Amino acid sequence: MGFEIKGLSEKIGDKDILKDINISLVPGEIVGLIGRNGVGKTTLFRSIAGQYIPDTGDILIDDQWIKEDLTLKEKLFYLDTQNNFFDSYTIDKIADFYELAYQTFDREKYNNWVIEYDLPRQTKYRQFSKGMQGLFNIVLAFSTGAPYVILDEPLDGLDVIVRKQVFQIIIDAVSEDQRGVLISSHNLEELDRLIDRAIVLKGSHIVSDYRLEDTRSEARKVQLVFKSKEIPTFVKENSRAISIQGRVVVVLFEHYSAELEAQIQAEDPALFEELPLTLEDLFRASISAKESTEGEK
Amino acid sequence: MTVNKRLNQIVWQRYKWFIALFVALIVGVSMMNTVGTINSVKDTEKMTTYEYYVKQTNSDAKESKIKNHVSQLDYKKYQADMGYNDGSTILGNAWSEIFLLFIVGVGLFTSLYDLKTKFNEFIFSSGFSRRRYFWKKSGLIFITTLATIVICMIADVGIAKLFISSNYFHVSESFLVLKLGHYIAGYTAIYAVGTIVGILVNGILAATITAFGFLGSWIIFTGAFLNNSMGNPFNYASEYNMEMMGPSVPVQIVIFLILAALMMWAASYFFNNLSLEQDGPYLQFNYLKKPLLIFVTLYIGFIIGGQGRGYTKLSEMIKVGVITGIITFIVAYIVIYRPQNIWQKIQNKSSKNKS
Repeated sequence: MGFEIKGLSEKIGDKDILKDINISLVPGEIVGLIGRNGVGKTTLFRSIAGQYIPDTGDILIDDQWIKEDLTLKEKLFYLDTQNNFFDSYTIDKIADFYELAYQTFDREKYNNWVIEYDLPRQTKYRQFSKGMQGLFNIVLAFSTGAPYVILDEPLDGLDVIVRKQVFQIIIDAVSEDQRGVLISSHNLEELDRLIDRAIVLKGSHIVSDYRLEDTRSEARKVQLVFKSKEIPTFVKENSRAISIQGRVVVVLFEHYSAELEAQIQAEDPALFEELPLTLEDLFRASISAKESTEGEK
Repeated sequence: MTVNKRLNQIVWQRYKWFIALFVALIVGVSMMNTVGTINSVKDTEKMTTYEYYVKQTNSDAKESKIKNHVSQLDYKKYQADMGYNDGSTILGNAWSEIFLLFIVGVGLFTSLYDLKTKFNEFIFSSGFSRRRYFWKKSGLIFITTLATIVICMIADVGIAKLFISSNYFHVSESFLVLKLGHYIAGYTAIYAVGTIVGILVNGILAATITAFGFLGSWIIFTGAFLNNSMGNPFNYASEYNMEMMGPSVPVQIVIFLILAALMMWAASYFFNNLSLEQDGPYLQFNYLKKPLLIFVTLYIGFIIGGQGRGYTKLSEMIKVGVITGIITFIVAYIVIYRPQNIWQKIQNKSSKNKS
């Protein structure tokens, strides 16, 4: 059971946007897809959804290839917030289209949410505020009954109250209905509180796939100041740099061990402090891999 | 609910207001034309009274200084000539060229509306087959508009028959059926042109110019070329007239239907393989750039050269064809490939002109 992307590659013009992307998602799991602007997150989502035809790769849903059975797409929901036909329709009309596209669409749940969040039924989508649009998108996503939901920056531009409501809907859907959610956002602090796994996309590849609970138990974020100007070789080899300012080095040891700690202590550092590890740290460590401690001599 | 039924409902929900609008437009234009027909009949009747005929004939005779030949037999012939017959182009004003333009527009709309309003994103993300959606949408829109046009044509002829005295209406039923078949086949082919251009060409303006440009050349030049290629290639009539000059109407109907089937099949294929990341260039499919450039160059060069009105030597025809081909190649290359330096200059110039 689950949703898998296998070997997906996509070129736009002559440029490789995505190369050999492999991602899996199981029911009841929230996976965050993070990366810098323009790295290909939306392209990946559109390729999964079928809006773009990837050069290679395919999607497996519950062990069946989508190419072989298109109706499997009813198990997958993707809402393209930038490119949708919604603008000129009222939200009930939009829901009608999705009810026809998804046999599992739960009208009762939809109606309850519309009432609960006070969404005006006869108002056109384009007349909604950004917050209401964001909230409606989430309501629609989880009303379809699709077991796997892809959300592209659903928190973008929402106020704190709406963000909280969006969070609540996602968490309820995952915990009560065992939905699998693949979500992208630049708001790493909030994503940190929501996701189980973080996948980092960089330069058309997946560079890291962190299971946050495991990573937090295995990894350490450490601030170090060594007496010598050189960063010791074992640190370069075993860590990723989060930041380097003068002689103050903040690094991430993904597989921290007592042996590593002993090696650090043996260097007699001027400063050796363990810091709380956040998603942002993991992201920074991943995307700055090339400008890591190895690059700083 | 079955997949088919759900898709039918989606297409209907999406297009019902447009279909109502198309039907209303066709009926409106057709009614205006029918009113025009009836008015022209009234005028004709005034000019075909026996008194008018006698007066006109006497006056003509006086001018020509010849003996007056007024007779009942001549009067009947006069009436017949003023009326509506198989050769008459006046018959059935509803069968108007305006519907040709309308049908191209509907074909373009069928493809471009979903593309530009991002409804394709919804359909492609859903579990529906793209081909099935394409055929259902095209079927619903085209069959409804075509059926409306056909009903209007039949109504127009019926009204004409009802209001026009049998003295003036001598059109055979076989002619009417053939003409109807000719229009249906022609409209189907023209709809297919609009549809495929709407899928291949990115951009409303570019697609519209392409569709109308292609159709214009097709109707004017290709028609003339086909007509002439069947006879003496150096002897051209000045006006294109399908009924009188081209292949016979039944052959034309078959050609139109084959062309329509091929174009609709191609449109369905390309819609099924449409990837929505192409936003900006002239074509939606990069791999079609070269074939299109070659096709356009040969097509325009061939038909302009081949039209060859007034040529007396084959070499003149080839010269015109080659020169036209070269010019076409340059223009088509700029439009299809949009080399940045040249394209930028054109855009800068046009924005300067606007300001």
